[in-house]
Amino acid sequence: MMSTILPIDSKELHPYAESLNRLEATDWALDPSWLSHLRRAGSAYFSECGMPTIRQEEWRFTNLKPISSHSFDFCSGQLDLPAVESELAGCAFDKLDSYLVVLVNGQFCSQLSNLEGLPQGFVIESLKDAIKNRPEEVSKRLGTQVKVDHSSLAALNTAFFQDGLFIHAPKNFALDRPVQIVQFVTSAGASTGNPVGASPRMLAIAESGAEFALVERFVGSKDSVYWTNSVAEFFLAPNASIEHLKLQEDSVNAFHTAAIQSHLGQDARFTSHSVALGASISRNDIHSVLDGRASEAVLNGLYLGQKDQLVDHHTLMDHRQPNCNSHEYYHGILTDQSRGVFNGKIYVHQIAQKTDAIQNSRNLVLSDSATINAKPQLEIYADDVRCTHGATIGQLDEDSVFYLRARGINEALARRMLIHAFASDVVDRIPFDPVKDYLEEILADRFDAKD
Amino acid sequence: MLIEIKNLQASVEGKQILHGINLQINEGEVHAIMGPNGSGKSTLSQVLAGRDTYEVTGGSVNFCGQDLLEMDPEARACAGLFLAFQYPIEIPGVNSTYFLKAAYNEMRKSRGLPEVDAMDFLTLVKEKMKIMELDQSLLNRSVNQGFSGGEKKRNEIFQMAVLEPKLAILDETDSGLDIDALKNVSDGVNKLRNKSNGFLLITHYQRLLNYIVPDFVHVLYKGKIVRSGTKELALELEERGYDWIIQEVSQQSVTA
Repeated sequence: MMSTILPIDSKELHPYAESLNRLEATDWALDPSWLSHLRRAGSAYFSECGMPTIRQEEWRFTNLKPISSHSFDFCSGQLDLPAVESELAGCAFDKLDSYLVVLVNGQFCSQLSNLEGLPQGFVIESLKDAIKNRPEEVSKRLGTQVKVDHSSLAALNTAFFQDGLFIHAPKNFALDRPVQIVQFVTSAGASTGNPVGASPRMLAIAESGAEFALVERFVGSKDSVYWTNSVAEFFLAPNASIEHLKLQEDSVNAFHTAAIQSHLGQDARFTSHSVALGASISRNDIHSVLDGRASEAVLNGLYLGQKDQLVDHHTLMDHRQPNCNSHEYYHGILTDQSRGVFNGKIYVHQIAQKTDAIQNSRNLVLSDSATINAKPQLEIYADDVRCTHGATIGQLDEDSVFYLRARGINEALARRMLIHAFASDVVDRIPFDPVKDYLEEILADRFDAKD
Repeated sequence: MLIEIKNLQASVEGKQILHGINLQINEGEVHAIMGPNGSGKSTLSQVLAGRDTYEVTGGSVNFCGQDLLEMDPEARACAGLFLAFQYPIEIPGVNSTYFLKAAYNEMRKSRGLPEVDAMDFLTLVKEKMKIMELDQSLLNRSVNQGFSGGEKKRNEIFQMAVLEPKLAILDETDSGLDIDALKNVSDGVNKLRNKSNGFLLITHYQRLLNYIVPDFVHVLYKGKIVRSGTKELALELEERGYDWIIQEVSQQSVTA
């Protein structure tokens, strides 16, 4: 995108050079040529640019140095499934009537997945299989939204992804149940014993008039150190609709970086819910490209930071055609020494007249040492548009606290009610009841116990 | 006696607003406090409700035998003091029924009574809604959110009907109401009036007092009650404005 990439010192070899060289000689040789070409481009881009640094505008507040202090194993090889199975218990929402897909360390596990009853014609399969079974469909789209020069992290994912998820909804097909995706990462790579690096990759396509919903949950071995560096690309043909909920609950010592990009055709609708609760450092880049007339993107987000967590969301609403709507609601609650970053960009191209863009970012900072950097960024080149944005940062509204107290509600309860309400504003937009109930429980646990 | 206010003084951000208020309200009485803008009417109501942005700099308030100024806002509410806000706050995300049930149960707990469950509370609420002719769908919404000005004021009186306070302070409840809403609010208050409770109506205009007839009327000016009388005083103010009282007061202070 717009960021300037500063090359790392050419003498300094990055920690993944050796793995990349090895892969190039082995695995990539087995890939179809378009893919090995793409991987080489990713590898080259990462080798040139290295990890993002705080000298880059897009990374000013998020220092990834702690990631570089580990050497992650992105080629963790064969999984010990029986060992994983016990850890996976409880990771899926049992009460969510859904198709189930389980990925471990970014690899599709058909034994743990359940696609029973999936209607004929609707494809949910391992990305590895899709590359073999439907090379044309995959090759014409993979890497075209999140390109290797999107960021060096996307480049790294492109070079390293071993597998992932492929979803294809045929024309005018509305899937009857959501697809639940569990992304689990184990504590240590089987081959080296080094902490695991996972590169899950998702390619999801909704043909015209098709409709489906995904509930994706990122989890991992409790307290363990790992790095999930994920990329997801969504393609929505005219009139298609995709709803994507991402619940990031990675281990407190894990790192999570992700690029999620959706491309919308005419009258298409993309809804994203990003709930970030886990990981030591997390960063989501969520971009929607409104590339068809009257398309609509909705990005909702909730992040709760505690202890010394860092939670970063960068969003982009890229209005490329007229009459498109984008709505964005992000709420953050930060306690202890946690840090939050929200950067919401709305880019309206000259042709995109009658754009209606709303961005709302609200942050509650509940301790003296917690911080938030919230920045709306508007670039508007059309003259007949409505773009509104609001960013608030603050403590609880004391007028509201007093109103509740004046009705007899004690101060601690009044404050809890207001924190809960603040978060519920985003949770209430989630259409999956079991997830909603689960989040309500987490909110109650987090904020109701502290008197 | 419900409340006895003695020489109450209060300031906000270092600026003295109340310069010694004296007022006593007994069971079954309705008092009205009138006064020009900036006389300290709303400060008085906020101080009595316990808003901590106001600093009490002197005087005492005895509420049903307790030292009111020593109590937290919630303790005052539980003891039976109710403030109908001039500007009721919108609280997105807090459901109206949930909020009111929490308030009701806090009050019951403080009196050693068992909490009521959701079913019993709903029965109570339905009964009280009739008094205010409020649309029940408002209860499914967040507190005051998206309510019209009139609905907010009626909602305050509805909350009062549920909580049954001993003393209710109505802070400019009439402001911004059209005549129908004003009648409706007044009817609600009149239905709740009885021998054991009391009301303090704070208002700029006399018209509210056509509907809620007070036993006593006080004029507040520059943080002091400068004149007290019966409902006829309100009519005189309506007719002659505040200027004559202001003049009288300033003459008195010159001669003194």
